[in-house]
Amino acid sequence: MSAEKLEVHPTRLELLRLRRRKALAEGIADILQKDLETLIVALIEHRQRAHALRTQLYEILNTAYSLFIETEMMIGTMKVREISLSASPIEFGIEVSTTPGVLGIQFPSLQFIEEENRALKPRFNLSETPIQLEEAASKIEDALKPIVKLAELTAVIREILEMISLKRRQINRIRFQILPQLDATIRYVELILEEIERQDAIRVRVLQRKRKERAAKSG
Amino acid sequence: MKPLKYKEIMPRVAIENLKLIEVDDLISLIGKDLESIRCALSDSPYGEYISAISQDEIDSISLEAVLLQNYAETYKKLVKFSSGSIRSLLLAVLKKFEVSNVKAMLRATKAKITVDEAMKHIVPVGTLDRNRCRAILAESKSIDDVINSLANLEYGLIMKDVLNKRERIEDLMQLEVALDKAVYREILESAEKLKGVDKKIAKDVLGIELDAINVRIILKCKALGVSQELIKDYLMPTALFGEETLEEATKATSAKAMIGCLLIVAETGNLVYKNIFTQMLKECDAPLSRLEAILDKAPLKMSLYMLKEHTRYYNIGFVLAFLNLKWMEIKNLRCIINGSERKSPPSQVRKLLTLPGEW
Repeated sequence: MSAEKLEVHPTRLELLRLRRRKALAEGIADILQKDLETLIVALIEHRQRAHALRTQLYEILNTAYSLFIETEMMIGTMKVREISLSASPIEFGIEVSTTPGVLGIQFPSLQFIEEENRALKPRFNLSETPIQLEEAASKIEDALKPIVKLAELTAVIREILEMISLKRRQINRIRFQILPQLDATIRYVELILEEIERQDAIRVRVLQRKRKERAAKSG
Repeated sequence: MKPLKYKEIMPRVAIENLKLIEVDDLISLIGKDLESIRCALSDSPYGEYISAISQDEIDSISLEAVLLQNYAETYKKLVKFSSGSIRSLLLAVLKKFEVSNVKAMLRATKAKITVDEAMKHIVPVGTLDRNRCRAILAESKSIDDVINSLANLEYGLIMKDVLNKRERIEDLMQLEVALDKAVYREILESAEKLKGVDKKIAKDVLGIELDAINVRIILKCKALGVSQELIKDYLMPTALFGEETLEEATKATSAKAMIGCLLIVAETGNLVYKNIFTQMLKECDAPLSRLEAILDKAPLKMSLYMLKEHTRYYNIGFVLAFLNLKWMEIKNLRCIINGSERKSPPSQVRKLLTLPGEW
């Protein structure tokens, strides 16, 4: 598909302006390409970190669920459910803020906040429950920090993906819309200017021929 | 020795003892699916309860309910055929299950679940039958209401006492611990009222259960970093390990030091105490769950030891041994059923079973 040319006056000055604009657009496209590459590197790094964290989280949760199942096997499903009815929930908070990341982009930051001055006391009836239940609960509590960290990494990855998509759109717009448009316009202006030059040359030759004819008649 | 008072209960215990599932048969159920377990249990004393459940409703929860129902019925039979101080002791031990129902009602009320949902946690035993529990749950909107509904029972008075002593009840743990303490105190008192060999056997079998609970509480609290002062509040009435011994154990810096301190006292007890705490000392670096498993076996080991030490009949040893064996059978079946439903590896299920000897 041929690009539509811009509405410009086919003058030399305009041609110079158009060439300057083309050089500038090419420069911007190069910078955006470098940004894109930086973002892709950051995306790979964050993805690797998320993968490692997810593996660590799965290990913690697997241990927790295994211990929980052991508890159910030891004291019965109904008893575990009954005990859970009165168990005090784990209190925690999440502070949401932003931190400057790659290319100065503001990345979301999630901070896990533990309950301060938490009394060290058992959460479940000591004589009724096996240690596996406390251990399972403690493992789940341990998993909260990686879960929050993983949520933060996921949000950062999403942010990076959005930025990559934006940069890619910008590069594509320059490469496949602005630059072809400028090229087409430059070609058009050049053609017009060449046409004007050719007409001028013919006009000059006609005038010279007429001048010679006039000189011959008078001579 | 008065054989007359055993005239009715001993044949009943002997019959019920014969109905216990053989350990080999129990082990053969590991790794089987729920349907196979249901079929296998159909030929056992649990069969009549299992046949009442439709095939679509068979799951770990319904089977668990069947096991507990059977235990409650068997216990009722033993109480019915017992007399005198043995009956008093059996009724005192039964209160452990009654208290379990009281705790279930407290928890259900705190969580504000529906009466029907709460009733799934009730095992009708003793004075707290289904209708009474349902009525209490239906009428109670708060913990205070449950306590008031139980005011005519000792449990209500115990909980009121806790409420009077403390301005605010932060969680149900304080009430639950008070109830447990009261029940175990009553069990010890009932054992104390027995005479001769019965008294010795009951004190040893029920005493080791209490000692095991207290040691478990200390081990668990120390692992969780609970303060010494708080640990004291959670401890049950004492048996062989007196308050001083337990206090010393709470001060120990490691599990090894703690078990070592308990072993000194255990050596003054009988062979079972010594064996258990020597084994615990050997495995003191093992995970806490392993130490708990050793302690869980203590009442059963003591019961079986008492059977060897004394004549099988005409003492309370056989009754207590049967009750422990029956309870272990139910625990093991529950473990196998849940393991089957959760598709746990057979090695894990086997590890969690409490078997009488080295199997």
